[in-house]
Amino acid sequence: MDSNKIDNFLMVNNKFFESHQLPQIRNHLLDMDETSWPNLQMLQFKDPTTMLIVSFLGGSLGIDRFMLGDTGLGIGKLLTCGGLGIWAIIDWFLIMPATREKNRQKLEMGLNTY
Amino acid sequence: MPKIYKTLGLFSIIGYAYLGSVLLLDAHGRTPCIIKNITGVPCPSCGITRSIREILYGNLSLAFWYNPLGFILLLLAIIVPIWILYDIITKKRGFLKYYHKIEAQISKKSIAIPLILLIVIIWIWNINKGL
Repeated sequence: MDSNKIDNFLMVNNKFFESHQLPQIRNHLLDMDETSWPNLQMLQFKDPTTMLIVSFLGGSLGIDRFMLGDTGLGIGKLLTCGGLGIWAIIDWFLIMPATREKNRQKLEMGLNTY
Repeated sequence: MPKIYKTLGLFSIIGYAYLGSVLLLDAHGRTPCIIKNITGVPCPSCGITRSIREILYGNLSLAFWYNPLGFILLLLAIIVPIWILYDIITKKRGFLKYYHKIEAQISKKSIAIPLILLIVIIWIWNINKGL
């Protein structure tokens, strides 16, 4: 894929991914051909900062984990009052890296389908 | 070892320690629930500790009144650690596979929406109870 397009994509979307993975992502994108570009543009990622706010407000109910697709963990938090409050607090720190990881997985899946 | 085994294993230990301290020291009256401590409104799982205590004392209808989810949590608290331990000892991954299977099932709208409704009903009941 055209490296200008890739650099634009990365500039707009870099906050959605872990910084140490960006070079790897860039290389993967370089290997793909132009037909993947529309699919790449249509992928929607979750904003780590939004997820942090969700975690503050609804973390005890597991809403943050449900939104990331971690249904099992979400239920665990819900049934235990946010893991006795401890897990809710831990997730305030874990939710942003977890969001970025989920975004990366979504990117990989989106690119591998085509 | 899968991350989930470590997470659930650690949490089982913490959970049992918490339950033990509540049952043995009879020290309660405070909630670990963040929502209740900040807003004063109970969450859907408030009352589960008291519910489990009543189950263990044999007062099943009182246990149900405190929080019906207590039965579910007690069941999970017994099954999950034992299954994970079995998997670790026999070097299998049965629990992991089942966990993912159930996760996929629950995520379906036809199952998720009734469950969410159930949680909301229990939550409203909790608020009415003045827990």
